[in-house]
Amino acid sequence: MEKHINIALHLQEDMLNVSWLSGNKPIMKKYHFELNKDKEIAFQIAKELLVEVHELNIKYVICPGGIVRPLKQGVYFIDEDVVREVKEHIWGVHANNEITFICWELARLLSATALMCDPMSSDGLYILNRVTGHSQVKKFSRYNACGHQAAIYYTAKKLGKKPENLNLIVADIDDEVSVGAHHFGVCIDVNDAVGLEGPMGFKSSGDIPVAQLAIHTEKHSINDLRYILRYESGVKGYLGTDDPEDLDRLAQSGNDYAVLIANAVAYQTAKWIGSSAMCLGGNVDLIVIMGKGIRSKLILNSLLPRIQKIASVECFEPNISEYLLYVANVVESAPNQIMRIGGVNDGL
Amino acid sequence: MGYKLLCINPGSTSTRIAVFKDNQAEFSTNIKHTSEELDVFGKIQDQLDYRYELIKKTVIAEGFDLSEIDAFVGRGGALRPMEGGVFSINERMIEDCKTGKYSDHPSNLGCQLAILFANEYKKPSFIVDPPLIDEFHAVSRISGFVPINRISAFHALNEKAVARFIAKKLDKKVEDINIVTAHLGSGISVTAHLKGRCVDNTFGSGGDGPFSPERCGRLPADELLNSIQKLSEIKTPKEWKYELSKKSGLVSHLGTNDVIAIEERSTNDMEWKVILDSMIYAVAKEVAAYCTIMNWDADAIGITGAIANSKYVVTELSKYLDFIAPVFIYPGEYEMEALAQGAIRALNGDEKVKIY
Repeated sequence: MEKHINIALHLQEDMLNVSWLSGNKPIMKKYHFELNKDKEIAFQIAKELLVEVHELNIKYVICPGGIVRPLKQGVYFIDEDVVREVKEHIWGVHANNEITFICWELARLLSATALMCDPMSSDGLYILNRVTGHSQVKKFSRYNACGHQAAIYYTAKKLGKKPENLNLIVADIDDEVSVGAHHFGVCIDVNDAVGLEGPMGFKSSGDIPVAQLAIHTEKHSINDLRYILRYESGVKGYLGTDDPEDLDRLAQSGNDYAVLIANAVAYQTAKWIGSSAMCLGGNVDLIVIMGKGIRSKLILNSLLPRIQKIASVECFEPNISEYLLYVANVVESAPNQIMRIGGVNDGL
Repeated sequence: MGYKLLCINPGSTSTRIAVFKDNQAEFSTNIKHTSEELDVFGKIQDQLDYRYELIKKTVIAEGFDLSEIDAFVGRGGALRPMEGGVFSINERMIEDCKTGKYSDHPSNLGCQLAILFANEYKKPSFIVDPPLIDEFHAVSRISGFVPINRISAFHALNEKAVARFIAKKLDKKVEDINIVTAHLGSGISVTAHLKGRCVDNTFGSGGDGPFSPERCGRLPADELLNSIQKLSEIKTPKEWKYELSKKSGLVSHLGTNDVIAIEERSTNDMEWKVILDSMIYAVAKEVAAYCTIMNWDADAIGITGAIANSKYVVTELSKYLDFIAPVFIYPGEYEMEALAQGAIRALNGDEKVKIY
């Protein structure tokens, strides 16, 4: 039988991680990621990969999916329809849209098949979580779905259970924060992290009192506001840093404001975890905290007491590369599980 | 021996008054003011004497002797944001209300009416938990966007009263327990009472918390900005503010804020049912969220406001929430009771009277 490998791509704090298994040994190469350089990055990776793995065929190149139309979580071919939606940012803007394109481009250069896992628009919302307070403002399920699923995969493995038999809350505290209520494997409630709903993160504002925000459109252009709220708010807006270690250092050097801001991240995240507990009817097997926020002692020390009575809490960073390679391996033996997003769809 | 109290609660188109003998209302009425009557006066402040005479006439016509009243209690007004409690009425308070320093609110007449009676009949006068009370802890004020603060704005008088009712039922002091209350009216507020202090509430008028019959509540901020860019029929930021606080929520989906009518129609209209159920669900989510403020150690949950008269709404809410803590229902509003009971605590010396 012909020897082949799969390649996983994922973005972690401005670095694009490219990984594969050499025998059983995981190999990872890191590339600096920049926006609007997708073709160059893909070409560079392909060139170096062909040297590294020259005797092997590459079957799948897999990445966390960007934002496409709302669909159920799982593994999808990256095809023309996907590329169009992520390239044109039809359903939302996120760096993972570019990763999805790089994945497609890389697969093309390597004569492999491009797959995306758990797109950010994975949507299993319970019907009562779909209605917003204004008929003209839509609720989407857009979050770090692949990260949540990886956390669930490792949790289930550790507990010796299947995700389909567990009720879990996953909170990813990162540039943006997402808190998901996962009911027997389906994410029935999650804040629209991409649409700026939810707790504030290291860069994103989350939701803010919106009637006040409407007044702010008097002073700022809406495009500027949308940019500031997504990239220059949250911890960064208050303290000028989006680094969790910096946050703790500032506090240790006597900056009380840093303590307050760390508390605010924890406080707002705890509230969403409380909501998720209600969505799960109080039956919560475990709460998982992930994302770069877990590297801030301040945030964790403020967060944990607020939620520990709901359920046990575990804080860990799931290994996304390993998870993606595992998923590629699963669909390799069951290729009929791979879905297509299907047809043209330009939104609601 | 019991105290007799006259409670005065001025609203924009009416003045609610009640005579209490201790905790018992002996008389209670809502004196309506037509717009023709009020239009004669330019400002709210100019209505003072008119309302005073009207109250006096009404109480005397009911056969009460005003000289037998032990204390006069007013609601409000809109005073400097501060900790709640029972306050004596002083010159500074009157001055801030006369000038509408913090807000041009009809309750600014509350303390002024009370002290007019008090001076005439040589009795003490108080106000209780004025509308702008602010017991937030620092972390509650932080929003994700530096220029916008979260602000304390809730149904203070009623929610505080409900917290006290619950504490009494549990045979505890409100200062010793943790309660989350939800006031369900045309606006909805959810409030965390941490050992008696209202340390956080959903900033309903600012666009936060669950959506309500008229208000938008929390919205994904970027999706809202997207809609502001796309929708041409609503033009100015002020129009949007109005849209979000008066024409959103149930009104924007169904064209009405009448929960009872919506409830009736939703028995055979799935679309309407989903909207109503979503509002109830959003309230339940918010109450659960606020339980984390007290480290998931709430002693009780209180549901109040006009919508709490709906059996359906409170039954659903109880189903969602009773796994966290016992749920108590207090339909309607208890502002007059709250005023009377505050004054009684002050007269009995159970609560220290604060100076503004």
